[in-house]
Amino acid sequence: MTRELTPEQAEAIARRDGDLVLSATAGSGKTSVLVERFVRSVVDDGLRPDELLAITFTDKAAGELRGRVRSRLLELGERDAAREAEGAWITTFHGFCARVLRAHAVASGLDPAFAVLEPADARSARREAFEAALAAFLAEPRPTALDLAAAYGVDRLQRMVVGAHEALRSRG
Amino acid sequence: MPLTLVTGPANAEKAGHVLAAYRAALSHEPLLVVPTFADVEHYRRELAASGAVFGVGVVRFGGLMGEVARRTGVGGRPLAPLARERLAVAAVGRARLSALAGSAATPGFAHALLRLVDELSERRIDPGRWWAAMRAWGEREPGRAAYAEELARLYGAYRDALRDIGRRDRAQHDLAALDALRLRPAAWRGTPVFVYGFDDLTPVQRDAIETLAVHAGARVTVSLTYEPGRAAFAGRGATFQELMALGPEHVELPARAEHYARPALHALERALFEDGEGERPDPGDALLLLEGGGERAELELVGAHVARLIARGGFAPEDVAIVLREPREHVALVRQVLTELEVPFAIDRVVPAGHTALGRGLVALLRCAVADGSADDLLAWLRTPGKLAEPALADRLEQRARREGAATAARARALWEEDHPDFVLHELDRVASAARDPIALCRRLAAEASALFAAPHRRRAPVLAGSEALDARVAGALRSALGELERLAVLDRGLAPAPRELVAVLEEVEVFVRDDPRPGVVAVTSPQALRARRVRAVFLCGLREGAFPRPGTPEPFLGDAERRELNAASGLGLRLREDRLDAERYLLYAAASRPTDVLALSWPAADDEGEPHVRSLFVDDVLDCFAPAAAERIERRALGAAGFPDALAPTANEAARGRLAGRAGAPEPPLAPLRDERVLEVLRARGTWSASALEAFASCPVKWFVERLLSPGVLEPDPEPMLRGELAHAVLEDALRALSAGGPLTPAHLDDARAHVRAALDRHADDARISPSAERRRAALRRLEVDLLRYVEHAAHAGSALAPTYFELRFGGPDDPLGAAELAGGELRLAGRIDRVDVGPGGEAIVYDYKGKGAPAQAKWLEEARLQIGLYLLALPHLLDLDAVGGLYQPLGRDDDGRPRGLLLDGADPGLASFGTDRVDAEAFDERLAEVLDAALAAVRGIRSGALAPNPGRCAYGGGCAHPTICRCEAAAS
Repeated sequence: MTRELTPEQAEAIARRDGDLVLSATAGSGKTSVLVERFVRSVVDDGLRPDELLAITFTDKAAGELRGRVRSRLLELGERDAAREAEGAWITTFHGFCARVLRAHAVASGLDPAFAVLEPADARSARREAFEAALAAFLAEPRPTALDLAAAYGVDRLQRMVVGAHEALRSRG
Repeated sequence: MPLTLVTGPANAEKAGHVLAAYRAALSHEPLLVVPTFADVEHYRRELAASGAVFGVGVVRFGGLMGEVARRTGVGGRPLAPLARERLAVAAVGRARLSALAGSAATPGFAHALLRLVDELSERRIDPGRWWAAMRAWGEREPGRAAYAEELARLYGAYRDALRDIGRRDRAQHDLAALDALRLRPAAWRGTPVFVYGFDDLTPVQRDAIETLAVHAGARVTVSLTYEPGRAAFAGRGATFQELMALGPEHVELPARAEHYARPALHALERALFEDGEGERPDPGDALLLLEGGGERAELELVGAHVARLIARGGFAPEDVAIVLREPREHVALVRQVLTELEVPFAIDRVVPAGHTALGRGLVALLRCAVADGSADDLLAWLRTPGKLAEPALADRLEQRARREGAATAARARALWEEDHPDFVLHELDRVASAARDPIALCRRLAAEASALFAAPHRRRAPVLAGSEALDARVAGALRSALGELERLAVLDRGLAPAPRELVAVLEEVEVFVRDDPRPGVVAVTSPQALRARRVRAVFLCGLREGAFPRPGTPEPFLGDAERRELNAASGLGLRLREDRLDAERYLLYAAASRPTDVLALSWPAADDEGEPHVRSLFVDDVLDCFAPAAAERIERRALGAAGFPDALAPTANEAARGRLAGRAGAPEPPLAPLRDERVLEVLRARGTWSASALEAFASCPVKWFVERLLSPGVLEPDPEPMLRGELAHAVLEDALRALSAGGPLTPAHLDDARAHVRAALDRHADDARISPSAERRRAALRRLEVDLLRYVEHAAHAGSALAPTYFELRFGGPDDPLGAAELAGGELRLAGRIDRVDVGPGGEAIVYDYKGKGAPAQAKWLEEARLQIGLYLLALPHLLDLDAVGGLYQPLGRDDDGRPRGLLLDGADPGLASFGTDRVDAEAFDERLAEVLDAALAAVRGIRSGALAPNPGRCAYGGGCAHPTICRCEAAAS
């Protein structure tokens, strides 16, 4: 780490007891602290890079974080650790979950060859699911069902149902 | 010890050493074992070039095992992959699963199970040992006991199923041959064996080497790219140690700088993944760094540099290789880009049969005959090349099926046979009939595959190339698969897939399309396949996070943590899969160490949707070997870039595109007017114009040109709003006509009006197929019913003293009851259809035009190019003896305010609920109509002149450009 650490950054890097939340404004060096904490865990605490998990928001951010960890380890002369960092668990939530599920696909009841749907395929699957649900909904003997579909229009109803489904899903 | 192990870094002349030893042993008819078919061809040629022809045997590992089996008398054929998969499916069914039931019901389960079975078989773990290991593992943690027991049961069930049909799978067959050789070593007869080019060895391969060298006493020479202590070879350490444990003669070959034309590349070979304490040379143009803004841009940049090396660098195409971690994942893009750039190339590919025309056709035939085939399936079958002498017949069927909402194969077949009573689709009946018996079905489908393949070649003897050659491979693969399934069904009918399962099985049949590297083409290949080739330039592509290095793929039954635990407890030696970095580093080394002159590294900065990618750290590993300045020389190509600068353009077209793209910001040239004199003559000669056509031209001339003049046949059903509108017109005409004798519509008529609307809707509901989906149609009809009932309610309370009198009044057309209206002294002869005319006792009349929701005020008529009502007002006195006092657009779909918008003369129908700004005095009334007439006359003149200036702001329904592929001005519209 080329620049001087602030006392708060230094404390955040050094502290090992319990969980730690680091909150600061954009551009204040949160990622630098994370990188240094990762590197110090390897260099000072003797952990292997693949024993650490770092999660960030996007694949690009994860890749950049991995690059910075590697560079910092090289800077410290830790060539072997830098090489290992290339395969470290520095990933996104999606990436982490996919990796866990892949390792336990059968136990999770999944297709061992499962893949995450591409957006276009997901749209198509959503459309098919909605059409099937609409058929079942309108097959029920109650006039309000048809009135609901007529009042909103099927396309608008689809947007509303998909939106509600996504909101509920994101809440777990 | 007859085993010799030859090791050394890349390009240490290991091949020369092995081949020299091979030639020296020629009198003993030695076998050379190499990894791929391409290697077999390559080394046969290389040996022949040095005079070794007779007694030469070059085989893949499977060939070696076949020879062992033959010499030891181990007979029978191992079960083929597809039959084996069916057996696995049956074994899953037998295993009575509970904990694994969810996953076992998925299509990928059998494949995964077979991979686990292979691993266990190759490691000589029999079901008993597996059962014991699983039980012990399960007992250590009760929560996984059921899982462990079922996993143990699965392996046993698979082996039982094999035993029941009296067959062996490939691993069992190979091990049986090796076991037989251990019992009768003399059977090998001392034939020397040379193993070259393998990156790593599987357990069976290591077993074979040990059996041949240690037990059968054969002279075995194994070459392995390996140097002790180097990080690049860490993934090969275990194999090296295992071979060394056999006590071989070890020949270590040193690195050879003379292999490289550029010293920097030799330095890279020596320094890659090392500590980097030595000199870091500047590679100059021996290293290219290429970044594409997207995956396509990356490949285009690579292709352009490949073309440059070939055209201007003195490189032959075969001197250059494009290397991708998994070439098969990029086949389509590679083929597209390199073909466009005119770079000759070779790339192997595997195509699922269902992705080919012939395979899709056969699968579709099966689906139509025995499963719930769709109209699209029937069309896919009919469109198999050669099936129809006139392919346009399928297009016509598609149009009819789509427009009539025929979604199933049965309905589409009925339409076909209605149109072609002499062309009955008997194949469907034959396949359906055969489906009662799996053996008959396999035979029938094999015959259909042959017939489909032969169809385009009847009475010809063509030399097949391109897609026809692919069809031949597909037909062969399908026949082979069906033959395999037929033989399995003969053993046990229950093992054959049910007809619906067969659909999925045939779709996934893999068709391997070999395209071997050869003189005159650039090889597009993987790092593994590059190892035995001599190349001057390597373009190593796709170097991004997640692609290269490729992350490990956990084994879905047992993750690495579980495997470690099992290995520790039971000594099974199961392979760990999640840490692949050592193996990936070796692949990078294998590719980066090959070229003698140029190494190019490329990566995409984003995918082709613009989602950012991150450059692989392998690029940094390479750059660590060179002077820092090298890292700064990155050449970039933007996402969506078109063409190339002249210095790099591989073709004249690309240069021209590059020059055009360089004119940034230049406006698109305007569309040229219609110039063909024959077209203009027709337009000039046309005397009568419909109000809707003039309105279309005034909205956007290109819209008029496409929709009114070209008027192409429509494939899709008409849009729902249009069909709803047509139905609304018909219903209102019927309902209001039934009431017209009663004078103006008032609240007293409301019950009757509602009844007439409902009755008319019932009568006409089937006239318009609002949607092919029954549910959407029901919803749309209900919506329309509500809208129309609300409208008659509004109309009854609107206070009009005029009575609906004329409905759907047609004029000016060839079959219309009224002639054209001559306006502007005969300059404009107008045709049209007026939705409704309400008439008062004094002959005063108001024209109505029904709309969905949008009804424009008269003040916006010109701005929005709304001409129809104005033109109808002008025409009415010429058509009927009436005094036109107003023209209104009546919204039917608004639930907030049902008042119509338009133009009303002050004092006309005074009780009518209307907007104040729509009522104007006589002067303004006439002035607005004069403006409408001027606009209409301008439209006529524009049409006759051939003018085609697009107006994207008001072209499509709801605004925007409806024909962007013609106008190329969609962006301007938005």
